[in-house]
Amino acid sequence: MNRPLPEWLQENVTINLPAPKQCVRRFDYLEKTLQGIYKILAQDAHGNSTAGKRALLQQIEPHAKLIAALILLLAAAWTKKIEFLAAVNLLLLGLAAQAGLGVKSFMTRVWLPAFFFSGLAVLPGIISWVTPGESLYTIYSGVHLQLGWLTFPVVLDITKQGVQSALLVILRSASSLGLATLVLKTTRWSVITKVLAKFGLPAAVVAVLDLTYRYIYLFLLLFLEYIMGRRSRLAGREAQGEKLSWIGGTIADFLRITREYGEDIHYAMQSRGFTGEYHGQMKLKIGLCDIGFLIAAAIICCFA
Amino acid sequence: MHIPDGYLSPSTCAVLGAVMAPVWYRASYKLKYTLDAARVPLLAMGAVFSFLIMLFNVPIPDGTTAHAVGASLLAIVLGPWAAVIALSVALFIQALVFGDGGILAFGANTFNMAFIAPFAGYYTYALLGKGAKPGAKRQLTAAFAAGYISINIAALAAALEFGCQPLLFTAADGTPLYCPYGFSVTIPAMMLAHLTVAGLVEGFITLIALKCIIHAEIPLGLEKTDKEEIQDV
Repeated sequence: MNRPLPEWLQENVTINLPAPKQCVRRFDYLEKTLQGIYKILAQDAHGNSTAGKRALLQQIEPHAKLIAALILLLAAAWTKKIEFLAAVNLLLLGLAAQAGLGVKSFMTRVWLPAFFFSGLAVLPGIISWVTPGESLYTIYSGVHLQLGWLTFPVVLDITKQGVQSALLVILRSASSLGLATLVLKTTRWSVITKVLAKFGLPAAVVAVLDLTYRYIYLFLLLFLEYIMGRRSRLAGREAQGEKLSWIGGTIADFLRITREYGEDIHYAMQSRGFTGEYHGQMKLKIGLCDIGFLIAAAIICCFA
Repeated sequence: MHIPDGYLSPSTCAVLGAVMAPVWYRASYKLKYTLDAARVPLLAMGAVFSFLIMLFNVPIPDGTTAHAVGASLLAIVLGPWAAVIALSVALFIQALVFGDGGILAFGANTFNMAFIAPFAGYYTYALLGKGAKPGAKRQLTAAFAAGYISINIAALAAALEFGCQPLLFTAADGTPLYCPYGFSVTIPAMMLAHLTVAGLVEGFITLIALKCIIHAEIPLGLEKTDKEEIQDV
């Protein structure tokens, strides 16, 4: 049976809703913390998926990989050549693509913070006021500016020395971050700590590192639940004092929980015979490919 | 506060790493005798706790957020030497896994945040809060001062490390090889932000967290006091 629509449904009423405001959205402290946790968890999931791939870096013996990364890191820190640092960064990008990390993902993780954040930090350093030197571009000249006690220079240039210095800092920062990312994304954390133990890091420190890394993720999930719980109970605006007291209470809760976990893990490990010794030693299996990789890294460092 | 690689020369990083070596040795020696040697899980949980504190986005009145380091809070609740280890481990994982702070700059970052900050905070708290009743105003004021002073001293140390770079490491043509700013820029830039915002955030977080910890009756300190050690013997 076809019934006609009631009158109130047939009415064609136009409601003038206010136009959405064009503004940059500001996330509150809970959302920002949530984003931080999601980012860490996503990075971990990505790292786990890439470490298992069969590409060049994943095939290199971890000891050789760590030594090569360290000498490249030192070469990048010591060099005064911008071309060398640029070449190292391009090489790292190529290796990241070959290792299956994804060019976009690598650039977002490494180049964005290095070029954007470090870039912003060193940007004022390119002007003659901070770094005097050979002029590349004159911003203004013959202007006498004074703001209170602050007297601006009569001529303000962008200097060659300033630009070189900024590029050195940015490229060094990018190469260090790139090397750390490549090592971490192509090697499992448990393998890295075993290599560190082989290099002489005390057993107790390695055990603490392993346990910390493992439990950080467990506590991140717990933290996520805390924040979700808080958000689900929030309606309306929260006073500054309430926000801070929630943070203080959560910190106190986490102190209690981490202590309880620490005690439980301690007794569990003790009941299994743990005495503070670390038994995760890893055998060194260096092949021709690994030696070639180390030699290649050493040759690159010769150009620094 | 986390210094990335590229801002400090390798020799500065090496010097600060060398300064930290005896501190780590002393911390592990101290904990070995005041904490059961096999109790590494407690230290690991201390590091996890420190990592979680640094993850918090603390709201500040202008609508944005800031991060606390939690060094003085850790020094008060775990003891200064346990805080050195916990913060160092957290900073190591942050540098290697999350790219917060450089790998070569690890020595400098631990010197500022895992040594200077917890000790400055701990002694400020001990000095101002000595003999105060748990939860008393004086104790909480001491906690605020500990957080405020510790982060500012650590920031000053970082500013001095940055500021000495152009004086010590400059190419023949005048190009600064590392951080290009001298003391006249680094000290005001770092201190202005820390004296006005970051210090207050750190102070309030230390105060409020300690108040909640006292209220929840969670025992303070991982390290045993000398008196307890004597009783154990």
